[in-house]
Amino acid sequence: MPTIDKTIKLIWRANYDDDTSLVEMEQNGKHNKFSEIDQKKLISFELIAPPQDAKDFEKEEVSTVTHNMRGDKVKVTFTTYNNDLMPYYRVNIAQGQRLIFKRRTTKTSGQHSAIFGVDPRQYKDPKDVPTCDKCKTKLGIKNVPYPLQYAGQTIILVGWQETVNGKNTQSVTYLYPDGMIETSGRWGSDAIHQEASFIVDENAVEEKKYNT
Amino acid sequence: MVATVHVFFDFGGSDTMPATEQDTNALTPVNLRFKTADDATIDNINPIPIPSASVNNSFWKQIYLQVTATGGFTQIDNVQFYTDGSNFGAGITTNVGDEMPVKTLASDAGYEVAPGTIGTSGTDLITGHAGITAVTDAFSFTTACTKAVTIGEAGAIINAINETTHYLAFQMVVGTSASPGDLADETWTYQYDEI
Repeated sequence: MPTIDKTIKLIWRANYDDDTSLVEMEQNGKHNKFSEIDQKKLISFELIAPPQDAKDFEKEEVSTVTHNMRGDKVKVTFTTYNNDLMPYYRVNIAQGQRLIFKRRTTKTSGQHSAIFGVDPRQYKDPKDVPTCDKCKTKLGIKNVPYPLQYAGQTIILVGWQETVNGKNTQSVTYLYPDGMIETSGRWGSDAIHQEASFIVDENAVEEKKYNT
Repeated sequence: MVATVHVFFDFGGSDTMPATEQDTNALTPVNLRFKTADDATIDNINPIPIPSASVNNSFWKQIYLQVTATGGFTQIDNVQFYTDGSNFGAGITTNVGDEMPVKTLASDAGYEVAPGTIGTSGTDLITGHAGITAVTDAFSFTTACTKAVTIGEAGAIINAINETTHYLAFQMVVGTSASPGDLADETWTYQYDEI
């Protein structure tokens, strides 16, 4: 489940019908661009943690029973590591479907304000406004600004689009930075859910090879 | 991995040749201030006076997004602007130009230096800016009704470092019914799609 800053860290992995894959950022640090994905061979698209987050590698303990040379039963436990990163999310791309993928990012201005002190406007007579014990000046409001906790966020849109009997259909899942996951069959009208353009070669869909 | 995108505004210089391309992330605090001067200084100097009649304007701000580090991204498009819909209060309007003057990596053709009387009032955005013929209250743009921001780079997408969106031109207009004092910050949002 993505947490607060996970959506901005998540990278994609495109899996092909020949059991190969292309990952956005390889373990050697090489970046592959989205445009380099071979849409003709694409059968699934995953969002994974970056390879350096080794704790995300799948790990499991396996136990087995064997016999020693005296014939006694001996339990042996060992740990296995799966070299494959477990995906947070996977979308399967079936025949005729086109991948939808966007990182919808917001940059937000503003700040929170913490207000302290005495508001002189609550006193009808200015003489009644309390004074500071030390400096004897009238007390007032102190407005202390502090930055927004999240001045920006990245929402990942992932899914597929398909033309069925001339009608446009799609399934879009929104992965939010706070962990919420939302799926919709139609684009919305508000800023977050509005339609995204996507660059997929139309011919790629027709030429795609399938092994499922 | 995602590109690094910052909010910039240009100021100073002359038409089509701004003196400074200001990255708001380089300011302390990260901020921009509507004032009656054309600078990037975050201070209380040159506030917008409350007029006894008519209105006083801030000097206009010409704001844009710029990619400052690529991070292996392919492209940015579908740039939108919106606010939380909560304005600065009675007597204060913040307008945004309907048009988006030209700003790209290669060109500042749409830039017009902000004129006015320092400490008193800036020139009206429609009257003084050749690239703006009409304005809309910036706070009328919300998540339900966004303002699409155009891109003048090749293919109408941003796909290289230092490429930008066109300018959004803003101006704060203060009328007689405004209340004195510092205003609380309001929330404005730029949103874009990236792959």
